[in-house]
Amino acid sequence: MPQAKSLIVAVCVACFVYVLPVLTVVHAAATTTHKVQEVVAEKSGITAWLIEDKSLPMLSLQLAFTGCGAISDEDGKEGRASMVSDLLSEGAGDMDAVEFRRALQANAIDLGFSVDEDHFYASLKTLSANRDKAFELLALAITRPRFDGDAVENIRARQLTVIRKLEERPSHIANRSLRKHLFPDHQYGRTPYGSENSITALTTSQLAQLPQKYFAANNMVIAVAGDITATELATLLDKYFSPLPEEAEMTATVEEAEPHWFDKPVVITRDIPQAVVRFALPALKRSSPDFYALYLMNHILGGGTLTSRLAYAIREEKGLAYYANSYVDIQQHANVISGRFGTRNDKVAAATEIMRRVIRNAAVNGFTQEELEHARDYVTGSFPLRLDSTTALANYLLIMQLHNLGKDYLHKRNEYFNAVTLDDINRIAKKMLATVEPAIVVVGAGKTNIE
Amino acid sequence: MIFARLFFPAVIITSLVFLLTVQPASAAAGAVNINSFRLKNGMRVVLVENHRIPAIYHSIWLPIGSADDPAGKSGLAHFMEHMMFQGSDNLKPGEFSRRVAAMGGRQNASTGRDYTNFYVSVAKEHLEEVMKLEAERFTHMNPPPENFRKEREVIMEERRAVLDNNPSAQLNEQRIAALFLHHPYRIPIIGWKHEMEKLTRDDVLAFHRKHYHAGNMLLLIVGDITRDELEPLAEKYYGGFPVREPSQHNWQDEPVQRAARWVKMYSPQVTQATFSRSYLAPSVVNGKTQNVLPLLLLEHLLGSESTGYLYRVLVADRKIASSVAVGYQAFAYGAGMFNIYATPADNISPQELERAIDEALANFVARKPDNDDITRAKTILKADTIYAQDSLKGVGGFIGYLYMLGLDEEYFFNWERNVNAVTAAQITKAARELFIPEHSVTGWLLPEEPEEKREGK
Repeated sequence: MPQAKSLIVAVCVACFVYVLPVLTVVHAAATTTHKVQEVVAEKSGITAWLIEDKSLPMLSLQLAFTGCGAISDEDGKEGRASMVSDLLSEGAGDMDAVEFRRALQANAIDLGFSVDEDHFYASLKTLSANRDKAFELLALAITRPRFDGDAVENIRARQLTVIRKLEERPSHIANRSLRKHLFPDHQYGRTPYGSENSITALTTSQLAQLPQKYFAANNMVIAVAGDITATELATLLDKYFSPLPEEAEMTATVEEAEPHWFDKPVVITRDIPQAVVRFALPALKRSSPDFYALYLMNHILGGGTLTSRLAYAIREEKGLAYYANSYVDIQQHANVISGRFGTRNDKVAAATEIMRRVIRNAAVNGFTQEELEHARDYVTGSFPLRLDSTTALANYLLIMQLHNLGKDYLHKRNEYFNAVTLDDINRIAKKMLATVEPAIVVVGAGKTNIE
Repeated sequence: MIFARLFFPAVIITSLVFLLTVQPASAAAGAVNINSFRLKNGMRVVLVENHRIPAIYHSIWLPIGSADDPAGKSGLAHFMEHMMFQGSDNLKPGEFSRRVAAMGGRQNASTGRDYTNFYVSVAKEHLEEVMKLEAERFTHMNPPPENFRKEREVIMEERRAVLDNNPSAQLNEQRIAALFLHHPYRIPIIGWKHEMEKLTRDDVLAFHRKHYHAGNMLLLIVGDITRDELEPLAEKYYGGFPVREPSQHNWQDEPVQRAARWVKMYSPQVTQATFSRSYLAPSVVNGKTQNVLPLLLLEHLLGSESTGYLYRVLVADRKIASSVAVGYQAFAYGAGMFNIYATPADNISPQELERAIDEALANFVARKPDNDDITRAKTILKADTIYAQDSLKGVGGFIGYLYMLGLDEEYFFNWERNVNAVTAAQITKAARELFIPEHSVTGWLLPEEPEEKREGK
């Protein structure tokens, strides 16, 4: 899910990872009984997906404005979406920043905004008793943000701070370089936070343009879980979200992105004791019928924390790393398998050679039935555990909508995984792992001997 | 570590605060069912029922952590935690993790300063299998000799990854060591590099023999199970755990601080200066415990986004800082920590920011806190009652930690009443007793500057 910025220390900046909604019905006792309703608010026509859950007197609402993430930043104005995500809480309607925050705090309402490359997100959490006020404040923030002068300057200063603090992190340097090399001509090659220049140059009207022109009912996706009925939800949506225009006046221009693969590792010198390695391999679109095979293949390769081939070869067997893993980085316009490990500078060449060997071996010799079963057991069996909270339910409902997975996905997903055969994952392995060399970026000190 | 829950960017609440809203009228929502008992061998069991999904959060807690590392062997408690995954008489290295994954289970472990915790979350039908595996690795831990050397390399890489590669984390490590000059909380949980390198198999086995037994263990279960179902299983698998004398914390007391301390780190990786100010503070079981709740409210009064006093004065009014955050670690066996973080605005010198912080704290103590501000802070602390229950683990982590500190769920059940009872005068008094200049540690992470330009202090 998109990462909210921390103002003091940015955490895990370039993890644009969607948590894949996984469902299992394999284990009878672990079946989910969650019922997904599509709610249509009559007056405004606004729709939302809902899972009613009265376990606790609270609810979670997750919302996305599609296409309004960092890809909507214009050239020279990178970081706009990111800055706006901080500014929406800095006053709305008739309330300045202090009054708006007071209203949130007095009602113990959690409201936050964030972006990733693709979309702009709002996250709302409230006790049932305060849900009317919560919806009111959320709607106010997205329909009538103030962009007061001192708020804009303060957020600008903080954005610059975040950018500078990110530069302390070798992982950020590595991720950014990898993205830039993979997508040299596409928005995905930029950093969502912007640069000193672009952040300094952004004007208030440019910032305000994002919610004014890009937010509308037709690109808004809403997911709700918790203590609220369909009727109650529809009423609140009509009551507070009607001011949104039906159609967005402006939309981001973005094309499908083809990664530019490269053979020779990029090496960036930094005086740090542990080299940070990031690598990428081809993946499939979320809508591909082979996506589930790809996901399982990645799980065997690098997804299981201590049980994957990469983790075993690099950490468990040789003690060369604390972390060594890969994940399927799912985005709207390009997917890649993203991998990473960190090891002391004088071991980088050895660890990288192990990584290449693991990938080559998987491409040439494929995987075993046992590995497939094992991965499937985990991926299907662990899903109910992920649906253990109101917030998790709402997040999954949002992702299901963003990727057009269907209302019945919670019940179907397991079948998709169960249908994957060994032939499937071996075929995918050849396709993804054998056509290009992994694209590698290393940030480290001295001679890594990897060139 | 007890992790921060980020409410709003300006308030880092390093004390996880869970509250129970006692709602006699609505028993279903908001009621937490906690049952604690002992097995025949004395091992303590705490069950928190949560029937939301058919799953169990199974955890074993020991009230020992890095502060119990033997002298010269820092990092041992954490290394011990790692070695628990490296095999036993009947489990190959890594086999525990593989078998848990095969059940669709999620698992991990963590080492704090005063506790260690191992957990597995699984679908209910796998609970017995989990207990079988846990019993095996706790009582028959036996990694192959070469795995000790290999895993020691892994923890060295862990230290490099989370600490040595990260200037902020490095400063933090130094700052804590300056705050706790003598008390073993000064020791980093992962250990000092030069001592980690020398940890041996014998060290681990001795630590295991001394601490890993039923006299020290708490079994904390959260999930879809009743005591009638749980008790026989726990007896069957854990009733045979060896029992030894409970471990005592033989900790040196921290002497009274008589001089303010500064820790400054210059780093070539850093372009943005950041500031921290820390004070030793009461914890729920240490020092002036009656100040804990007032200080938890103070955390909000000072640090809430946009509305907190420090934010309003330093960020909004005087534009001396671009951001401020406050964090109070109240839950610890030893002393707690009260921390203030700030990022100076461009062209503000360290002296200017420090002066402004000191003035602001002094001014806050001199005046009566606003009642609306206090009410809002109380509302947030109380709402946590509900929010904290929203996951399988729910309040289990908090309850487990209460037991580690020698408290129990009563502390949790009394929370809302005690929060309501805090007065403005108590908050001011607690603040006055906290913000004593000689008791401060100030930390600066700074860009490297040429010798001539460095500002002395």
